[in-house]
Amino acid sequence: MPSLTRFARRYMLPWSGWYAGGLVALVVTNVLSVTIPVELARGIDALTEGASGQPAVLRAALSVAAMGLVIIGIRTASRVAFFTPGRHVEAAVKRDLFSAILRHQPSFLRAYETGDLFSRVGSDVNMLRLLAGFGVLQIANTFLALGLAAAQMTRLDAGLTLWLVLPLAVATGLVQLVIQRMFVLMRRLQIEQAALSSWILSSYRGVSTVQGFAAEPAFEERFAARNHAALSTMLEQSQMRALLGPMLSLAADIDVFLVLLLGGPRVIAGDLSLGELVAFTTLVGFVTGPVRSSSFLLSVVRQAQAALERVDAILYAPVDRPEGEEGAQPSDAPPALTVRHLTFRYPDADTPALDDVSFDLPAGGTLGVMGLTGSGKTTLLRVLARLYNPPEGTVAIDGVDVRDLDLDAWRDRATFVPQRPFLFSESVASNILLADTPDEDTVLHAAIDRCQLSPDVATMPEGVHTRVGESGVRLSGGQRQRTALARGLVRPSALLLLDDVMSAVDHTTEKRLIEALRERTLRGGAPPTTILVANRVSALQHADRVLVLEAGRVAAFDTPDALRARPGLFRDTWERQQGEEARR
Amino acid sequence: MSTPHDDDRDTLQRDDTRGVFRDLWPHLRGDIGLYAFALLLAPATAAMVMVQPWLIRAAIDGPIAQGDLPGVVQIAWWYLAAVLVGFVCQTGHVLALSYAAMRTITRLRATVYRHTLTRAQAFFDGQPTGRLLTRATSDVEALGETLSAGAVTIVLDALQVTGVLVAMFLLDARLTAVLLLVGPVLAAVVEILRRRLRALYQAVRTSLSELNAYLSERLDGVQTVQLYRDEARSLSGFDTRLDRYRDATVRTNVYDALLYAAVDGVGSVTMALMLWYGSGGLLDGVVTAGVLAAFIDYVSKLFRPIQEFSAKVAVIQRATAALSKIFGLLDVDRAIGGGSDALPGAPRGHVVLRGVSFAYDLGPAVLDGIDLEIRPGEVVALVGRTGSGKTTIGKLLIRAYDGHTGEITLDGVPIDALPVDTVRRTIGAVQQDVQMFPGDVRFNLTLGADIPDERVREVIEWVHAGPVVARLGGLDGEVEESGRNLSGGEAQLLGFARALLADAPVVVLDEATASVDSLTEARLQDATRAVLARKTTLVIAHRLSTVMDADRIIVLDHGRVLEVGDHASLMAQDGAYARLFREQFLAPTAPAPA
Repeated sequence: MPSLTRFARRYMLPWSGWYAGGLVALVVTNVLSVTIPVELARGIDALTEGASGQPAVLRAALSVAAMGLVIIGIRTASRVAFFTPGRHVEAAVKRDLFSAILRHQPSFLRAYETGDLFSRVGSDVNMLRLLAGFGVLQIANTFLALGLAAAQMTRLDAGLTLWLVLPLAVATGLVQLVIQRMFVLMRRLQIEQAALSSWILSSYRGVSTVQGFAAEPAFEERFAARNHAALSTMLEQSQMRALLGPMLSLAADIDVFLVLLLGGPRVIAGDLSLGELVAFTTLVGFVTGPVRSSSFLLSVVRQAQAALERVDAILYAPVDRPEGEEGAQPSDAPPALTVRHLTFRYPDADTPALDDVSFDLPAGGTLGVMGLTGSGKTTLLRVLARLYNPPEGTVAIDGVDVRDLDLDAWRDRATFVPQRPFLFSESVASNILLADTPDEDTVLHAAIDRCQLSPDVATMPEGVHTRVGESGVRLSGGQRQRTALARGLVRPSALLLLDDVMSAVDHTTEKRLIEALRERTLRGGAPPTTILVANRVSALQHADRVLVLEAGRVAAFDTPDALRARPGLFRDTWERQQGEEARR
Repeated sequence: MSTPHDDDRDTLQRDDTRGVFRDLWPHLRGDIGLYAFALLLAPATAAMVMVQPWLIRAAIDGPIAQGDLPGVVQIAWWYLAAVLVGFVCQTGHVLALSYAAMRTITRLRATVYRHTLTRAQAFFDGQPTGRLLTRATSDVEALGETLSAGAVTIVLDALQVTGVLVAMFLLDARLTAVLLLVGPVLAAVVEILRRRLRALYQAVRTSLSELNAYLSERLDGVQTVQLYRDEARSLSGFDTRLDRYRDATVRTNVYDALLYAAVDGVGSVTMALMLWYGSGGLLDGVVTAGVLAAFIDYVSKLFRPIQEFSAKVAVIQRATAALSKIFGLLDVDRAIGGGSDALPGAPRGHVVLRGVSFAYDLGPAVLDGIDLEIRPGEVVALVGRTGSGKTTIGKLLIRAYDGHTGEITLDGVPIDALPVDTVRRTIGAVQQDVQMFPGDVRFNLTLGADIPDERVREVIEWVHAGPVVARLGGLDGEVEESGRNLSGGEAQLLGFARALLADAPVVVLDEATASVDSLTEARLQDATRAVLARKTTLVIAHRLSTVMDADRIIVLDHGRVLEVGDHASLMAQDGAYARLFREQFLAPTAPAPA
C-alpha cells in the first residue's frame, strides 16, 4: 500500500478540487436517484385513490421529471469531474516514466526488453488511469448508492430488505471468485500473446531466411503452437465471462422474485402499499449497477497495484550516474586517456568482458583497436562512453576519474558511433543533426561530404529531407553506416569512439573516410582524440598505437609498424589481407 | 518530425469497407453451428426478459388486488422460472458466441500469418513490419471483440427492444404512445452525441497510434538518444503527442458522460410522463397500477440497450476498420509463382543466366543483360562496387524476387518453371545480415529441419562457432530477440552453419563473412573448403582476399558484366579488377611487407 499512497499523493492530490466537486455532484445524483422510485410509489399509490389523488399524482410526476432533468446535468458533471483527473494523471505518469527511461543507463535498461518497457508506459499506466478515474468514481458511487438505497429500502420494509441482501451477497462472492480467475487468465493471456507477437514479428523480419530455406512449414508449426495456447486461455476466459454478466442479473431478478413472493402477501395484509412494492423492484434494479461495478472495482485495484509495482520499478529506481549532483566538467580540449587495470564484467556475466586492460592515449592521439570476434573491443568503447560505468579508479580523463565527470557534459565531449547504428524514421538531415528543423546549413553538408554521402543524397527523391523509413530501411547497409558516422562527425567532439564503422563500405570509400577523419580538427586546430575499432589493417595503419585484445586482455599495444614486425594477430591479419599480393 | 508523411500512411487497407462482412463469411463458416446456436438462444433470452414485467403486472392487478394469497405465490414461482430459463439461455448464448468468436479469430490469425509469410520479398520492402504485425494481432482481436460482444448482442438488444415495445403495446397502446413523444427527442440527442463521439474517438485513436509509434521508436533507439544527448528533443516530441492524445480523451469524456446521463435522465422523464398520462387513463378505467408498474420496469429495460448502443457501435466500427485492414492484406496476391516442372534428376547445380535484366519496383534497371554460367562444382565470384548488382543476382537465384527478363536455368530448367520450394532447396544462401529467431540455438541452426545433433555439432566446429554456441549454453541455449546477444560476426558464423546444414547443392555466399575477423574467416575457409568443393558456389564479396581463389571472377559494373577470368588473368588484363585490387591492397601509405 505505500506505493499506492505515494502514487495518490504525487499524482492525484493536485486534482483534489475536482474530486471534491465530483463527490458533491455524485451525492446529489444518488440522492435524486433513490428519491425517484419513492416519488413514483407515491404517485402510484395516489392513483389507486382515484380522482381525489390526482393532484398528488401530478405533483409526483412533476417532481420525477424535474429530478430526471437535473440528473442529466449533475451526473454528467460528476463523471467529468472524476474522469478528467484520470486522463491527466495518465498523461503525467506516462511523461514521468518516459523521462525516467531516458535517464536510466544501459546498465539498468538491459534487463528490460523494449516491448516490456512499452507495455509499462502503455497498458500499465492505463491501469493507473482506471484507478484514478473510474476507480475513485466507483468507490464513491458504490458506498453512496448502496448506503442510500439500503436506507431507503429499510425505511420502506426492513424485513424484506434483509431478505434481498442475501442473493446479492452470494452473487457478489461468486463474482469475486470468477474475477480472480479472470485476473489469472488475463495475465496468462498477456504472456501468451506477447510470445505470439514476438514470433510473428521475428518471422516477418526474417522472412527472407524463412523463405530462402523453405522453412515455412516449421515456422507455421511453431506459430500454431503459440496460437493455440492463446486460444485455450481465451476459451477459459469465455467461460468465466459467460458466468460473470448473467450472474449479477440473476441475483437482481431473484430479488424481484422475493419482492413478489414476500412483498405481495404483505401488500394484501396491508403492511406495504402497492406503490412501495413497485419502488422495491425499481430500487433492486438501481443497486445492481453499483454491485456489478464494485466487483470489477476490486480487480481494478488489484491490477492497478500490480501495474504500479511495474511502473515504480522504473520510476523510482536509482539512476546509475556516479558523478553525484555536481559532476566535474570536462574541458573542451581533446582529452588524454589513462586506463589502468580496467576489469569489467556485464551485470549477469560470469567472465569479465575486459580483463586488466591498461593503456595511455595522449590528447589528440589516435588509438586503433583490433581483436577477434568477442574479444571486448565494443565493450571497451561502451565503458569509455559510460554506457556502462567502469569501476572506480580505472579510467582517468586528463587525470580525473571518468566517473566523477558530469555525464551529460561527458557525452557532449565524447561521441560514440556504434557498429549497428540506429536511425529514426525521420529525414536524413534530422537523423544527422538530431534536430527537429534541420536548416540547410554548412555544418550538415560538410558532414555529408566528409562521409562520402553526397552522391547518395543526390539520388534521393527529396535530398537530405528524404525520410529513411523504419530503422532506415530505405537505405543500404553502407548508407546507414555513413549516415550514422555523419551524425557522429557533425558534432564538435573532442573524443571520437568509432566502432567498426566502415565494415559495410568498399575500400575506396573507406580510404576517403579515413582521410576525412585525419583532416578533421577542432576549433583552434587541434585534432580530436580518436579510438578506432576495426578488423581491417588498412583502417588501422594510420593509428599512433594499436591495442590488440584477446579474450578481454591486452595481447599487444604498440605502433602499427612494430606490431607488423612481430608475430601476432595484427601481423597474421595484415599478412592475410596483404599477403596474397606477395604470393602472386 | 511530427507532420505525417505520405510514406507513413497505412496503404495496406481497403478503401471501401462495404464488402468486408461478406468476405468474412467464409471465415465464420467453420463455427457455424456455434453461431447458429447462439442466435437461436437470443429470442428465448429476449422473451424471458419480456415476460418478467408482464408477470409483475399480472400479480399486482390480479391476486394482489384481489387479496388472493396462493395466487401471488404461484405467480412469484412462475417469475422465478422465467428468471432461471432466462439465465440459462443468456449464459448459453454468451458462451457459444464467445467460443465461436475466439475460434474464428484463431483461425483467421493463422490465415493472415500464412498469407503474409508467403508473400514476395518485394512486398515486405514496402511495409513496416510493425504494421504487418498488427494485422495478425490487434486487428484480429478487434474483430474478436465484435463477434463476441458487439455485432450479435446488438441483434439481441434489437430483439429485446422490439419485444419490449410489442409487450407494452399489447398492455396499453395509449400509454405506449407516450414513447412516441419521448422517443424522437431521445433518438435525436443520442444521434447528435454519437456523431460527435465518432469524430472524437477517431481523434483519440489517431493520436494514440502516433504516440505509440513515437514511443516505440524512441525506446528502440534509447541508446542513440542517450549517446547523442537527444533526450530533451525526445521528451518534447513525446510531450507534443501526449498532449494531443490527452486533450482528445478529455473532450471525449465530456460527451461520453453526457450520453450516459442523458439516457438515464430521459428515462426518468418518461416515467413521469407515463404517471401523469396514466392518471388520466386510470379515470377511464384503462390503466391499472399493475400496468404502470410493468411500464416502469419496461422503460428501464428499453433504455439500457440504448445507453450501451453507442459503445457497441464503436466496437463494430473498430472491427470494420480492422477488417478492411485485414482484407487489405489478404487481397495482396503478390507471391512468388512457381511452376510444376521437375529437375531432370538429382540436382547437379548447373546455373545459367542468359540476357538477364531486372529492376526493383519502378526503379531503374539494376541488372542489364547479364550472361553467366556456373558449372557444377565451380566456384564463381562476383565483384564490383556498391550498387553494381552483385547481391541482386543472388536474390534472383533463390527466387526472393521475380519479374526478371531473360532466362535463368537450373540444370537446364528455367527456375520459374520449377516449384519455388525445389529451387530454394537446391540453391541456398548466406546473407550478410543474418536473421535470428526467438528459440534455442538448435532451431536457429536447423530452422525446424530434422537433423541429428551430432551433425549440427560437427558443422558448428567447421565454422568455428564452438565458443559462441558454448557461451549461449549449447544447442539448448536461447538466442534472444533479434539475436541481440550475438555480435555481428558471431551471427554470421551461425548463419554459415545454418546454410551448411541445409546442404543445398548450390550455395550463394553474399558477404557471408564481412563482419568476421580475418583470422576466424581464414580458419572457416580452411575448414569448409572440402564441403564447398562438392557444391556449386557463388561468392559475392567486396573483400577481394576472399575471392582470389575462385575458379572464375566476374566483375560487374552498373548491372553489366565488365570482365571475366581468374585472378591471374584479370590482373594481367590490368582492367577494372586490377584497379579494384590495387585500391584495396596497395594503400598509398602502406609500407612494403617486412
